[in-house]
Amino acid sequence: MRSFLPSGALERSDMIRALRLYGTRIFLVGNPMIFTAVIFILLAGLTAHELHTALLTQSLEKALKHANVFNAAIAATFVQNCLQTHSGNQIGASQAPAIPGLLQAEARAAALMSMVAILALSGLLAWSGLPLHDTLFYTLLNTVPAVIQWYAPPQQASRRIKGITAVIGVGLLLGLMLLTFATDFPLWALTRPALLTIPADLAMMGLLTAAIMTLPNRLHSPAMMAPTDGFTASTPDFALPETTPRVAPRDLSFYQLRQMLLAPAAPTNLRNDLLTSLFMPACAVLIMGSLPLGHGSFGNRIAHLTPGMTILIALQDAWISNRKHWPLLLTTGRFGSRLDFVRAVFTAKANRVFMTAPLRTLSLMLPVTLFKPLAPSHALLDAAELLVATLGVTFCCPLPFLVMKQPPQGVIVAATVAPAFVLQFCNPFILGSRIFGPVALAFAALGTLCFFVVPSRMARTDWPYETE
Amino acid sequence: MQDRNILHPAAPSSLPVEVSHLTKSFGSFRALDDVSFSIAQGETVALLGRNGAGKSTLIGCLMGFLLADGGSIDIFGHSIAALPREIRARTGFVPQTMTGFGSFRVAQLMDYIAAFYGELPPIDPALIAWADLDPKKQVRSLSGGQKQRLAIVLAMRHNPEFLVLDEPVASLDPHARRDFMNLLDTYTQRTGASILISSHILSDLERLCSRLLFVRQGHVVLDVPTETFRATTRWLEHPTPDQLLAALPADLQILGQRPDALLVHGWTGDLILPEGTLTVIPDFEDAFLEITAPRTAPATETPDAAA
Repeated sequence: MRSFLPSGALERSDMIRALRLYGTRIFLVGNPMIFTAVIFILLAGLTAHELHTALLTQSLEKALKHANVFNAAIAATFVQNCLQTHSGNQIGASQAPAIPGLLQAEARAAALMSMVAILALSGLLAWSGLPLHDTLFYTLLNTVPAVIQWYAPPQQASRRIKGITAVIGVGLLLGLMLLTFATDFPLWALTRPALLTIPADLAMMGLLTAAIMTLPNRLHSPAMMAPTDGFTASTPDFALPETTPRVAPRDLSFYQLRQMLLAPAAPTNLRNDLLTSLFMPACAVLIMGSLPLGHGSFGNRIAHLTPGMTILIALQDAWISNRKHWPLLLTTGRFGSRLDFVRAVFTAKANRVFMTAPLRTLSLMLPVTLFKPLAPSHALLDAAELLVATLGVTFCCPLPFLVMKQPPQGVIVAATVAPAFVLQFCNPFILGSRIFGPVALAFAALGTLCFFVVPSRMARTDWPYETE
Repeated sequence: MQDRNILHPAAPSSLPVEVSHLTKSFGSFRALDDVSFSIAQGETVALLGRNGAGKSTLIGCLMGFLLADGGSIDIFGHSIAALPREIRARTGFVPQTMTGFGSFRVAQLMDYIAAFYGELPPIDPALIAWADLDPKKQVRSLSGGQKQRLAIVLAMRHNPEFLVLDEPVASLDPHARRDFMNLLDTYTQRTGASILISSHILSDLERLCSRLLFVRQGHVVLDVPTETFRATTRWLEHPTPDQLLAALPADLQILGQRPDALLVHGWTGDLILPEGTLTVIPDFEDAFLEITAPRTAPATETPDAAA
């Protein structure tokens, strides 16, 4: 790993040149998370303003109960994601290692921008009246999942590495969300003595910098650069069978065939899908509820946790933003015309979500119904509303296609992520069934509109072809 | 203050490339095995071999992208393991496929990359004319062929003294391909640069390159000047190749064998051959197929197969 600091004028000017890119449209173009990051930065600003006002009259403990300080943490995560995408585009380029100084310059610039972004977000929170070393500590703790993501370059990593790092990253993110919503973690993090936080801040910044500065090594390591053709050309030393050998080890089920439209690289297994939906939310709530965090009885902890877990049943995959496989599957002729194809994609998604959403909703509702306990009629109403909202949220992802012919990737990603977060903060556990009812119906209406109108619009747009 | 003019800081004092006993494995697969060769200044060397023969691995090691397991690679007298920046600046690389930099506009990217080389002379107008790229177009919106042309411009913009091209013309149309080969020829004559080019367009390589480096299953099986190859490589056709084989001098290299012929290297007109032997000048593609065909242990012939 090279030193973070440039060693001479040449390296310094290289780094400045790389830094300048962050002020140009090069940073904005092809950075799909940018819109989402901006939304959360604005929300973080709003939170800081609320805290600032509240702290004039209330204690920090009381003020934090009403201010969603987690917005700053999510903003930090998305900013890191934007920086990662931008620097990955340059550092991961096929010609980049041959250009003297480019890899180091880009890595240094990314590390510097990363730290500036964290300091800026911490400063934003500190504006509310909290000590900067504490807000920095809180922001950095919440950036830990993003540090893991620096180890998962978007395109160049193997699927296994990407899978492992994504699972670790999501696990850490969910863990932090749970800590935030179920415990007094924000209050704890924002009231630590400087003696603890300043060394911790420095250590975490060092960790982040190291993760970024070693990115060129990982992107262009021998493992990443191993030629794929080197293993394919050897002459077979066995007699070829007379019949054509099967490529697939076994037939795909009807369900898997349909799901290929959504994720061709890894057709989903119906049993796994159903089991995950049935057990994942409940297990997550129960495990977290059994941890000795927060106050009150087990039932109270479950009740306190459940609103924060709503995102588990609403978060969407990239079924609309990832359309690179569409042209190839269209040419198979299996799905008919362009319009039929898009309708088949939407039907496949509906097919999946109508099976999994009820299970996920049930899984989330069961612990809170049993341990809170909730009245059956109340629980039933909450569950029905959540289900309606979840189904609607699923089909909100293609919303941009209603108003734009060719929406930028960032807008689609924002439309995929934002509804899930809206549901995270507006759910029956927080708003109450009566207020949440219209919200759920609004989601359902939007989803229905998209389901019936968007396919014909998408059928008339360009599909990804020969583009990155 | 460090010297900004890192282009051609001194006259080259060493061979552009010296590879000695290079080995490289991926797990249990040996991609390169005891590879040795050098490239002199002004030489244009063709790297020839089937898919998977080890060409890209060799190029990856030469450029320092892959770490060799054994042997050594020196670029202008410096080990590739610790290549100083000023030496790296004397090299250029064209990948098989250009990836990354998608958010830049063409002109922005050219300026951005050029700045890493310090002060550069004006870009060769012939190169720009050949590339025929809209400077305002975004890189991600270029077609595959246009991206490849941009990759070539980026690699040649700083007039490298050693240029490595890994299948550079695979996605170019015939016009662009032919024009590029002419451009490369002019470039080497103008600058005296050394070139290592891997391609499957054999006619281009035969026309352009002064030396041929045949790679088969991780080994360099033939390293020969193109003229010598043309002059001394022949098919020797005879009804009984075994009899022919016994009559050939020991220093003649057998490159390949057919049921009724041997492909030999080192042929001269005064060679004494058994009666009935026909000498045929090989087609370059035929010779390539024969030389680079994988060698396996001879299979036991079944009576059916023999029939």
